[in-house]
Amino acid sequence: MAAAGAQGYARCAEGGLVWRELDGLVLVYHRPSGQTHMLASPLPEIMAALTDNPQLPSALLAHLSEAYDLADDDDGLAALELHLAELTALGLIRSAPCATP
Amino acid sequence: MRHALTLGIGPATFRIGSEWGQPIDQLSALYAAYPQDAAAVADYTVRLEPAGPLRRWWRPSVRIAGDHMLPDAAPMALRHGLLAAEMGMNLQMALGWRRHLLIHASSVEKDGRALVMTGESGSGKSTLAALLGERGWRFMGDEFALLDLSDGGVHPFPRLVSLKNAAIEAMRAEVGDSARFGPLLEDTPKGAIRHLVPPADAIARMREAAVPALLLFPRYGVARDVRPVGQGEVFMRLTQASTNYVALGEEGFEALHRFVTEVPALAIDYESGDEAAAMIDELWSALP
Amino acid sequence: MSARALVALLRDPVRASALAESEWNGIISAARAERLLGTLAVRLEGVDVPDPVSAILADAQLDAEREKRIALWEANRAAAALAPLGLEPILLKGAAYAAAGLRAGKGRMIGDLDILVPRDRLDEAEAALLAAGWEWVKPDPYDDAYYRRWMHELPPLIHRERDRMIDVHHTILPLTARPRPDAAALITQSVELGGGLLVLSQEDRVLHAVAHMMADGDLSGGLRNLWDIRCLLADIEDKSALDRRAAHHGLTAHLARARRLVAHVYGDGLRLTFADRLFVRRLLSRDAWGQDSRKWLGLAFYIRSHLLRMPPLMLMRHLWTKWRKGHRPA
Repeated sequence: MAAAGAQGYARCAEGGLVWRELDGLVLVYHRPSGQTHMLASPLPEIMAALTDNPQLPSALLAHLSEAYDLADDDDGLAALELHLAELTALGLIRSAPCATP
Repeated sequence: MRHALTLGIGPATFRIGSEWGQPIDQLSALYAAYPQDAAAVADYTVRLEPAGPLRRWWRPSVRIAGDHMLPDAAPMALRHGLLAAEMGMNLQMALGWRRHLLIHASSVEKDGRALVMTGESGSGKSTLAALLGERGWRFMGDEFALLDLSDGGVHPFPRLVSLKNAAIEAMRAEVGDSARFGPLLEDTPKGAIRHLVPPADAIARMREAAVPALLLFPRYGVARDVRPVGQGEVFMRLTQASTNYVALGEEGFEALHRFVTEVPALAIDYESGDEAAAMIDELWSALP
Repeated sequence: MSARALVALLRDPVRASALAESEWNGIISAARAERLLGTLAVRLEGVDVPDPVSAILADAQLDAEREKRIALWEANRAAAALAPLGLEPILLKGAAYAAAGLRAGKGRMIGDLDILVPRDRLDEAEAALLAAGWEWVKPDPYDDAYYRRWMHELPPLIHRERDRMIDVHHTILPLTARPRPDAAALITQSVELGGGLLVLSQEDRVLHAVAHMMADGDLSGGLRNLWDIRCLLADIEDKSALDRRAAHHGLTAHLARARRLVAHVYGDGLRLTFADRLFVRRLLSRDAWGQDSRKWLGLAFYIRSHLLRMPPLMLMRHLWTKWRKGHRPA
């Protein structure tokens, strides 16, 4: 269990993203920056799993591995953390302290 | 400026000013069938200026300037002044146009439906459009295809066709009327260039849009082949081929997404204009 | 002179309906050259203009909205990069006007992001921005050393993915300039906007714009800078507070000249000193083709702008070094 205040991840305010499909890919238009991102799996799934309340990567991984065929182990967690950092740097999701573990 | 001309091409109006008479006289003659209303409000101003204090007379050298400019554009010899004016107008469109999604592509039309061809320079897209324009298609443009932001239609931008090197002879064989050709400009930065006035119906119908029906990525000089291109790749390549995709923001995003999902896309390789024309006829008649 | 027609229209937008179509080309070219077309478009909202003109103005508004959105995003990214240091950037110029919703920001082109941070935290800020994806624009060692020793900002940084520039200032005038604004006071008086962003106080915003135009530049783009000052002055509630603040920063004479120029160019006209008139001639030099019709005056102001920033011996050394590197005033 992580201590309260550890870094979690949450989705950004509603209305900032426009989603469109393109055979097998997801296009995201990010309104605040005017940038277009082309996302391949599992990035759209990760973004869809986020909520307004920040979640820890470990909790997210548990959730994602239930819904999809993802490895719920240390390698899976490291890969997920990389994806989360990448999406945060683009401003597509936000990182915030978790209130509760 | 000492010499000036206002010119309507497709939906855009240009005001071209020059310190020398020659480029303006050439433009005025080649664009004789286009609107030339000196009092019109121009979308863009292009200036052909001397590249230095004495360069109006001494080794006259043209700097392309205007509303939108490239800071480090190399000056051009006055004998290439016509090309400088064309480049100046293209630059205004590329950097300034906001009323359509602008794609670096040629286009032709038949039965209200448009064939759009895009690719690097040297792909032959410009020559192919000119060729098809002489063979039963309506020529819409050899440089920019303008995508409507609300209904997805393709609007023409039928400026003079810019024929380069071998394409000059190829089109001389295709077009009987030598009055449709501009002066031969030798040793330009892109080799030999000769401008061709589009067919009369292309000019008369230059404000008439068409529904896009097929997108081709032609490649000249490679053995005949036809391949489908995936939507993701088409989207990426068209964002790169568009000069105003980013500037248009969400409207551009929606227009491009619509185009990519609605218009089938193929890559074609060909070794001669005749071969490409035959391939295109075949692909066109196979469309639903 | 088209620049005159442009400022007349900015001053008094209803004149637009009385203009002949033939007058518009010169006005539009001058407005584009002075980067004032978006501002003009906002000023002319609701005024009857010919259709082709309203299409051009609509394009300009679209561009200005995009500029604003991108500037705010860049500010957001810079704030996110500096947040771990407990450092909130103070936005300057266009981004500040946009973020604070000021009338100076309406229709304005923005371009680079300018921020101010305390000088003693400059190294940390620089390191944090480099870690967040910004890179050096010019690795030229002379320019780099020059910036670090004498300028009021770091050498410009550009973001490697977003391709946008950021100028990180630690004060509002080069260290070589005669007036020495009180940078610490700029920071302590700054105003919280939320979202980890700050802007200068109302008075300091005016004085920064004045210092930038009157004591730092060669007046290229001066009409736009003067428009900013006009709008910022109109937002000032307490004129005497502004005067006191100007005196504190050593900018009293600069503020006085700015007020005279604003009144003359964008106001009801005002008697000018001889030197003021040279400023006005330089400001209003765009002709009907958008060209600078008074290039000699531009060169004079280029040299003046360097005199303002540097003592003479240093100026000679600097211009000589720049000249050898092939730099010429435009």
